[in-house]
Amino acid sequence: MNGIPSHIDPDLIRRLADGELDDAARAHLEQTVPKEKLTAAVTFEQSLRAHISRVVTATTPSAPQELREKIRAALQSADAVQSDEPIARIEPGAGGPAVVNTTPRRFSSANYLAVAASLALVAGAVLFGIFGPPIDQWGQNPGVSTAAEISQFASGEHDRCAIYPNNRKEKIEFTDPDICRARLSERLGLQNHHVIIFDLDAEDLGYAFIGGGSCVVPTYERSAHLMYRRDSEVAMPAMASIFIGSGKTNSQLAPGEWKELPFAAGCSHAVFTSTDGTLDYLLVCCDANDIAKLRKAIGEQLRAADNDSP
Amino acid sequence: MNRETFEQMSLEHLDSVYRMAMHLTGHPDEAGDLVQETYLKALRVAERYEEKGGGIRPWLFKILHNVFYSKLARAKRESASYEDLPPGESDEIKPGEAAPAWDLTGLDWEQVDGRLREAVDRLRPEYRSVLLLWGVEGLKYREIAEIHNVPIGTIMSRLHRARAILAEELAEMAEELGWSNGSTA
Repeated sequence: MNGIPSHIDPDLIRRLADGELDDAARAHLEQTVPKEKLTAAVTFEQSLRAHISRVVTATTPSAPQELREKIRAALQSADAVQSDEPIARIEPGAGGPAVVNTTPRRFSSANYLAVAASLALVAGAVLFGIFGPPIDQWGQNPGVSTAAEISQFASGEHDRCAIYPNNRKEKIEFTDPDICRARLSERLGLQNHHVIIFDLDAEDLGYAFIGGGSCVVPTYERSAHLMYRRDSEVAMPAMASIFIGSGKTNSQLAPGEWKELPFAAGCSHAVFTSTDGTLDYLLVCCDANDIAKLRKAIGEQLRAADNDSP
Repeated sequence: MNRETFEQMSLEHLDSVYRMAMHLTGHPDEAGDLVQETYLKALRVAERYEEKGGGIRPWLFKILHNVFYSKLARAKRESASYEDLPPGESDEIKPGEAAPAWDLTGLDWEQVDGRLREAVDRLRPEYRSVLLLWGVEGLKYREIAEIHNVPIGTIMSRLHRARAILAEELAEMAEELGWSNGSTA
């Protein structure tokens, strides 16, 4: 069998793997289930989730470009449409399938004319705007959905290293924080500035730095990857990744301020970004319950670093 | 929320919404219609949108599901939802059910992808939808419960069942292929 005591509800372990278990239940599990068995079970569940995401995403088509354009145009012309039509009564929070008072609105000829006119007006915006960076001017490369690309990479790379120890070993080049800080700062081409090796080992966080190395985050000229792990007595490890990018920055954010990147296809984790004023930092964590605390701790250190800058 | 803000926020998630529409309808044209209707309806009620910490995506999924089942109900001239689907396996986990395949340490994930996809496709719709919202879209149990308008316990039960079915499938495959399971017992 799998070595988990028979009185333990498998659902508890799945909720633990999903970051959906409260602290008391988690502590109980960690005290009850042998460490290696619990780790194996959680790793299996997280691997299953990551592979479901990848296999479904890879085999399901993305929204066709023409649909994207059609919806954008329809939204552009929706103001006029709204005025002569009652609002459909949809209550997102109500019980059962929504009651819709209006019949499904099909496009009339007039609508199509409006759409065509709108299309002509917004064609340029569509070509740039759909893929481009209207939100926060992410990236400087017109025609590339940089935020989604970065999000997809960070989530996948975090999984690759968090789930598979061999990938982690290959990735980690420096385990000493001081050496890591110095080497990665060199590699990122920094002068009079250093990457931050965050201290996340405070009592309420418990994430220890396990190492870092170079990385290839899309759109950045140079980048690095820092990894942290939170163990407990029975060690259901949770991993956190911080990616650092140089060569451009998200100028819309203040140091220590956070923004969630768009949830891209294939992502199994939310990806958050912040800056120290010079470098971009991306945060991914296996345990969604820790995200708020990590953001707070990292944000404070980012603000402090910005204050220290000349 | 004004139209520009809505457009900016919502179109970021078009691929996710379309992917879910594909799983609901099973056809690209129907998925396209469903997504278009979802976006227009969402725009109309955008002022009612409340940020609950998960961004706009769960709300779009909620409207997508509402639109889909409203259309289904109209088509059948009767109420339809997951709850009205023909009874299948119970959400309850049966006593004596096979143990989770947590000891499949020799599992070669790259080789099971095709079979995993087939197993996902074979799940009952209410299990598959919950599984995809959790596994592919990364939503929390609470958010999935709001989308489906069922208690969170029901979502946990369905997700638990769906994962157990997939794990059984993987265990069978591992046995067929003679992969070690790392079990010491």
